[in-house]
Amino acid sequence: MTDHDLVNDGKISEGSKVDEISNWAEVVFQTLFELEKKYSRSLKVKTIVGVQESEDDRVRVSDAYLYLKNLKENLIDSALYSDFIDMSELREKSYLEQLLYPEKRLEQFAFLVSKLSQAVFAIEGENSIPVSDIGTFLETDEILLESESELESFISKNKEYVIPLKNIIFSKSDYMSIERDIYDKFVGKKFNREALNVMLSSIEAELLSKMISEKKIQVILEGDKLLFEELTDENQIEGVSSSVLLSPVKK
Amino acid sequence: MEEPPQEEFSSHEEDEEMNIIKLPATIADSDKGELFKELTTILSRKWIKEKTMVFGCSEMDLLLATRFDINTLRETLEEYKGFVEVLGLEVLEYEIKGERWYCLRSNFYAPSELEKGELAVLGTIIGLIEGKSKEPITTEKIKEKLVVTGKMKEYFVENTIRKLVRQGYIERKQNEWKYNYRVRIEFGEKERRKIAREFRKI
Repeated sequence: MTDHDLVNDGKISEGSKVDEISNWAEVVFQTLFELEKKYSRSLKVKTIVGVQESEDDRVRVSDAYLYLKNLKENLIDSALYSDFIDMSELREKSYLEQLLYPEKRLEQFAFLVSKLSQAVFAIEGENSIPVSDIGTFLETDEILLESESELESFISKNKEYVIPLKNIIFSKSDYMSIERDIYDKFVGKKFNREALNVMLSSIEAELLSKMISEKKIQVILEGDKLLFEELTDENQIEGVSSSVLLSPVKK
Repeated sequence: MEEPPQEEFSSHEEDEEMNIIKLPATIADSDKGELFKELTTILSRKWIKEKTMVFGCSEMDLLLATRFDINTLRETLEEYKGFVEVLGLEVLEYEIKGERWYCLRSNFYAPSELEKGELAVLGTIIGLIEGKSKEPITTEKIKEKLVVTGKMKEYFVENTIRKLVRQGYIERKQNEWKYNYRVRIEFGEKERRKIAREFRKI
């Protein structure tokens, strides 16, 4: 064998090595690409890849960075590693779900939030909000007027509860005439509750209640009916008084 | 003609003395001690302003109380920061409606005022706000996460939201929940991101 032959042999083996490496790089990239697709799909539909399988996949591509040539290949490699992390999180989460009750998980979350907070320091002042303040705060819900359309939609949605306010001024003679009407209408008669609801307006119901509390009229429950009587010293009944809930519907 | 009474004259002199503004260079050490004591009391105060709990004092109030000019006040506060640092405290600056406020915070630990359930609701709100979703964070969305999934009772979530508003953690802007000053000072950006990550696990 001449020196020339030896040199030629060396060139051939070097060239075949380069080919082999480039083929190998292609195989590695192909593996990376397929695994990335597999994990991103699994994460999307939340299918868990087992620990062993995931570990095997990671080992398969652990040396891949040695063969990566351009930015695109490096990006796929990073994306795959990010997917490995996400998959591990998903797996942990699902184990946690199986192991812990929701309340326990929530408790741990609350503990973490408390651990991460760095509370403000206060020596002076109130340590808690007074109960009365919370009470009054609960009663009102603020509707922001800046969105007028929102206010309109709120009113239209709750139309049945929105009552336009009217100012009604009554003189004493008006009261007396209504009281007289109530006397004429009810005293000595029996009605059931439904009938009363239809017969009374809200003002009349208020006045009737006032007359009963002022002991001008007494009401006796007979069966499911209410008997209205004028209250005198002779017919006064001793007993426990109670209230009747009326929902006047008359306008 | 009668001379003006002596008393009136002296009170006028006192008034003039009161109006002299002392600059830090002219403040004696004993005066400075008094000033720092008062600052500690003012900055460690917790009180309710416009239905929201606030800590410390606004810069404007400090200016009015000390009658310093703005630069003098800030210089004094810088010196005060060094003074409280020895005690393991830091002077914190925060903003309420564009106004600068100051309060004290422990460098190490102070217990949170919220209970477990309330912390979970706050964590949920932080998780939702930090999340990538572009949808507005409404009360319905919070309930969807906690009530619909059966984790909490509706009245508890509603009460807690009200409490968080009062305590200065969150505020509502056009029916959307946003952070108020207290979330920003008690939870750093890194902490909020961590809460959001953990929130996904519940």
